Amino acid sequence: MSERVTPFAEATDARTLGFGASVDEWAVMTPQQRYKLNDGMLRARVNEGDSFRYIGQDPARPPGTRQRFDLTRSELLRLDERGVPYEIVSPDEVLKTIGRL
Amino acid sequence: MALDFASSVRTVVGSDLGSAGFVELASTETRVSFSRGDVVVSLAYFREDLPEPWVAVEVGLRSPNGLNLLGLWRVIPSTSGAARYWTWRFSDTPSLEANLAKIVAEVIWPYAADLWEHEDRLEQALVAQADDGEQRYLVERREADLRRARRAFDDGRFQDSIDAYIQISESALSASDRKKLLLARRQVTP
Repeated sequence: MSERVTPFAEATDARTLGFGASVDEWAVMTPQQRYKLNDGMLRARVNEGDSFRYIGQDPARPPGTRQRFDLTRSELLRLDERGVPYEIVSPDEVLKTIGRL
Repeated sequence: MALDFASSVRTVVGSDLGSAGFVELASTETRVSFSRGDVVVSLAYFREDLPEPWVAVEVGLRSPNGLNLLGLWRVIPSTSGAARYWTWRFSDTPSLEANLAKIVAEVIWPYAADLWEHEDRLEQALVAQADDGEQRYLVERREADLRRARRAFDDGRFQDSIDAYIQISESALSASDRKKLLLARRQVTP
């Protein structure tokens, strides 16, 4: 997140949907606790009238590593369920904005 | 997890990369990067994988436009014992440092070194990664449009459903989705 999401958000004057916990707190949380924390932040942003953009998966990350609990996928599905549209940013735009794929 | 990732990387990997002419370029809480000319080698972990993350190894090129990094897993043959190095998890400093030593021996020297010594291969792999990223992007967009179209149809928002369906080539729609599109069009046509 700190390598792609944060620089992209800063370069486009946007806000990230952060972890909402310190590294140590995050490390000991169950998937359910992470989901609940994330859902609270997501609801708050939806209620504030935010629009959402998704910059795709990090190409350095093998798809198989997302099999256990994919928080990003879960965020997108919840936006879908709530009828909140989001834009999927093209890899080209990500590369041009933060200088890496 | 009390962990000083950067310090462990410097201790275990730094001298090996130093012997190949690399110097430390930058570090954060989750990433340490080394460079030799335009070539960059970067080791990182993803916070979302805590409490048992793995060490991601990336090799890339710096240019005036920025930095383009390749996930090294992409160039490791599936027959190699290191092909699934992302399953080598760590949970504390000893297991991190044991993993880093294994990564130096089984991942960096056999595969990263080949790329930094042959920049044409590295550039080729970066192009393949970009192509893969483009394909994934198209698939994700299509899936998102499909979910939006189906939900709008189910909610009776037929124009929204049509708007989402027509983002997808009609020939790529399933029989069930083509039928929903047809019904939606009938609903909005006077």
